[in-house]
Amino acid sequence: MTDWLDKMLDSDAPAEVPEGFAESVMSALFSSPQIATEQPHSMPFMKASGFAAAAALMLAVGIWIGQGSKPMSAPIDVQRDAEMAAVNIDSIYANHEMLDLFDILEDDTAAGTSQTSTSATLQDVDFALKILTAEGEK
Amino acid sequence: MVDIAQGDQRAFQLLVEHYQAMVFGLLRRILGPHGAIEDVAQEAFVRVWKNREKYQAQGKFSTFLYRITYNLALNRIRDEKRKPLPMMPKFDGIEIAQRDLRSDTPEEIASRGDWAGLISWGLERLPHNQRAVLVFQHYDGFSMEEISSVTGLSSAAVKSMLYRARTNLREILQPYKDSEND
Repeated sequence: MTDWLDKMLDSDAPAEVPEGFAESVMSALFSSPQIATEQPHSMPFMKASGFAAAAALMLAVGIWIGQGSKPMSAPIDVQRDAEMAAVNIDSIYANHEMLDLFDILEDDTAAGTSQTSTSATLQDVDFALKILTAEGEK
Repeated sequence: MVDIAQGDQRAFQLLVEHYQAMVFGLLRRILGPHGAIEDVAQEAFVRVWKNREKYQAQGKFSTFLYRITYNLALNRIRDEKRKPLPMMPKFDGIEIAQRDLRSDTPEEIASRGDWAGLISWGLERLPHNQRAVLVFQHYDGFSMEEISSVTGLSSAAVKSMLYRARTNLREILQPYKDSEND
């Protein structure tokens, strides 16, 4: 059973379609060569090859970066790592000793005896370097 | 649609001629008589052509076409809402928002016996989703499931929205219903 609302809704006029609308749709579609010949779901070749080149480049970079790291599957060599750590610590201490030799004197003494203190410092460095060189050859 | 999927342009033109009135009717009621009906209708058919292979997996063509048309109409409504009102030139240093001079009052519409205009005015006052389900149900004869398929709402939500649309529209048009009988 229809009520007054349905009757009122029925009084709505149908929409007028402008003349030549279908032709305008066809013209909009097929006057543009790209839309007319475009295949659905297909990517233009140049765009696809660009993506492929980018992917290949990223893969190559990833491999190059990965080459510097240890293989993930390789077991951890505890002994070798400890030796490496010991060498690193030794070199740090060696550098520390050399840096100690470069201790800057007090400002007063430095200002007063610059020539003497410089030559003495250089001799000490030279001596330290000889020690380090001898240790390195062991 | 099989011919169209294979790129038959003549078949597509026949399809446009067959469904254009339906699309225009839907858009006029959803966007209003002053909306960009022709632009959106053209875009809807362009999208149908571009997505012609997607249709093969789906049901009725009218549902497919309506879904595209409805979504485009919603996009247009959202775009219109974001647009600021055009401002008139400054008057005494104050800009005045320009009133849409095309819209008459309901009294003016009813007084000249323009019932179609009154319906359009009333529909424009509904929220767009209520408006859409009412239009699909009353003018296109869609079932709840079909409306659900087009709008993406559940059947229960469609039913509820339809009830609210009719209640609200009844309230909006109640003062003028007797004028129709005069």
